[in-house]
Amino acid sequence: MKRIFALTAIVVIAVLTMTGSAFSADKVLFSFEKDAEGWEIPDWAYEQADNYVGEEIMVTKDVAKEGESSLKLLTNFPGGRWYGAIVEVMEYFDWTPFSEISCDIYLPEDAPRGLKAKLVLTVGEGWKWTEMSRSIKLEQGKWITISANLKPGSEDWKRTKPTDEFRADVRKIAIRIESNKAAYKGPVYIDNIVLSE
Amino acid sequence: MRRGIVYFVTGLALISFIFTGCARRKEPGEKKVVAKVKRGAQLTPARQATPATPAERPTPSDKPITEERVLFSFERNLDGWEIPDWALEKDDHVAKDIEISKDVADEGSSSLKVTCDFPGQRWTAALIELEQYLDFTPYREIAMDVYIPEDTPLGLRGRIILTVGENWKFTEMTRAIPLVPGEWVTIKASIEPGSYDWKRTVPDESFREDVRKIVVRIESNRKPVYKGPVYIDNIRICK
Repeated sequence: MKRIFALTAIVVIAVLTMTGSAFSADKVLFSFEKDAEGWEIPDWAYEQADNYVGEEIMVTKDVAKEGESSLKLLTNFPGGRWYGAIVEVMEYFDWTPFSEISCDIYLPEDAPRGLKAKLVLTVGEGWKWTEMSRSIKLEQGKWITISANLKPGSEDWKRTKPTDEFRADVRKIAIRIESNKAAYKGPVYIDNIVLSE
Repeated sequence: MRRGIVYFVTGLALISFIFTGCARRKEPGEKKVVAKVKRGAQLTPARQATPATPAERPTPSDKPITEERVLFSFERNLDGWEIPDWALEKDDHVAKDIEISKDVADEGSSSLKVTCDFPGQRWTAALIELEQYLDFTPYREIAMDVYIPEDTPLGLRGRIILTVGENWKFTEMTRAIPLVPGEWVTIKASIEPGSYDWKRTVPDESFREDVRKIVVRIESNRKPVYKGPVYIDNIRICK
């Protein structure tokens, strides 16, 4: 009797563990454990050097939110006015079952206050540039999660009310680090780009 | 004899006035001005004081508010609200810290707590803001609830400020609302075209469709001196 009970308990625990991982609500899109996975600083950003100040990207083991490595973006914000540093990946995605996209961003301890970040999606046949309606403040020495709701009617996108077609046809993901005033030369780390149901 | 001379001179003078007239001489072609204006008659446009006619300024609806949508309830996190860096650098801006708190709540179980340090003797303010592109169409009003503890001295006031449009126009409420110690006070302003609630600004339709910042400013104008929390909850739009 005891054996049957023990066996049943083991089976139940095993099933629960398996279903937990098999039916996880999150899907990691990019973890940067091996390489940059197609992420780059776009050519147009290099050409707009008076506004865009990303210099180089690489995978690094300096810091990581999950796993051992992350994407390192070297920036050079001169300060005094608005500048951005942008990285993007071009790929056709269908995110229909998912309700949220998020990523984690780390700023070194010696960075100044005032840097912010937002996600930008390029969607649909018209390759519509769709940026988040607000930028999220980054904090020195901390991983900050940037997330945006993908569901129809979401308020998280600037001048865009998403429909089901919105999340069914995403063509680029971009992450833009912004400074309105602060000067900063150094790295910004990106990790763990995830879709959640 | 003398009396005769006096009568004669006076008579000549009278005859002279009658013929030449007392007034200045009329210029050739000049017409007589009729000063009399018939009661109720309209003046010509050039002479009117040019008040705005009702047709020029849209009128906000006087229908009752029947629907509310809560934008920020502060139940889980700050939702992007912050003390802006520029305010932290100015000595007349006295908000020190911002956090979610379960001390008090108007709805739900928590609210936004702003820790302030008003020194008195001069105008100072605690300001918090959210920078986000928002379209409030077709809502007619923005509102929020503000609470100060019972032991807070009288005199603090609160107002809403919106930053709107392509030029990021800083648009503050025409008046600041007195806060009442120990009570939740609702601060609200109409965002309809023609609203009178905004200082030096008459909103048009584009006003509410391109809001870029919501700001809350708690003010002390020389009085009171107060060091402590101010709570904000339930930031909503209504129609």
